[in-house]
Amino acid sequence: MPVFDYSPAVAADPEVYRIHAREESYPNSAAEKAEIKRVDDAIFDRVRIYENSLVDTSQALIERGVVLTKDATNIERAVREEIKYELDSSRVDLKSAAERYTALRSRAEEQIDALERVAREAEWWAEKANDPYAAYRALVVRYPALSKKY
Amino acid sequence: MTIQTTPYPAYYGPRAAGLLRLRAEGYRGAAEELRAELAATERYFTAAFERVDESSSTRDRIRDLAKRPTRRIGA
Repeated sequence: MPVFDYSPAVAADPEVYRIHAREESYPNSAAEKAEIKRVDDAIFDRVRIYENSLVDTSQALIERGVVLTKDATNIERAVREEIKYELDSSRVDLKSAAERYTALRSRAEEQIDALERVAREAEWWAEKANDPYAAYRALVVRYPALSKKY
Repeated sequence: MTIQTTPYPAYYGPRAAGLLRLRAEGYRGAAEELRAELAATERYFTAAFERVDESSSTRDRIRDLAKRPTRRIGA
């Protein structure tokens, strides 16, 4: 049974609820311990859900990265084997090599952009996943509607 | 006195973060390798163009010489 009503109107930041629970006066230490534990558990349960979603997002991102890296390796191999090695030969048809290279270069540039984008995204999510509590606090402070009674 | 709260016991988040950072390095590395391969291929193109220019200019000079009327010294 909650002792206090920690309304979302008080503050969105879960840390404020936790401090509030610790600052209140209680009839006895058992009631104090029980209430602090209740508030902490309720908040940690919410953070745990967020942490799990961060882990799921990380896995999806890593799977996307595996596909991108494999495609990049294939393009790199095609450039090396179909163009570079051929340019070493004295009988190379430069026009045909230039046409094929232009197409491969365009694919390679798209792939480079995609790899750099996924790297930036991975770093952005890593920062959140590294400290899920801080990330959750930042989220609910930014979007107070996500904050509910603990 | 500042009230200290207990830290949140994170489970898999920090491990996922470490893996993501490692992978991010890998993605950047793959992008760099691809960029380097393009640069190397363009150097190969430069060398091939130079070879073609040299041989075509030699061929052109031979053809020009062959077309000229024969002039012998003293003729």
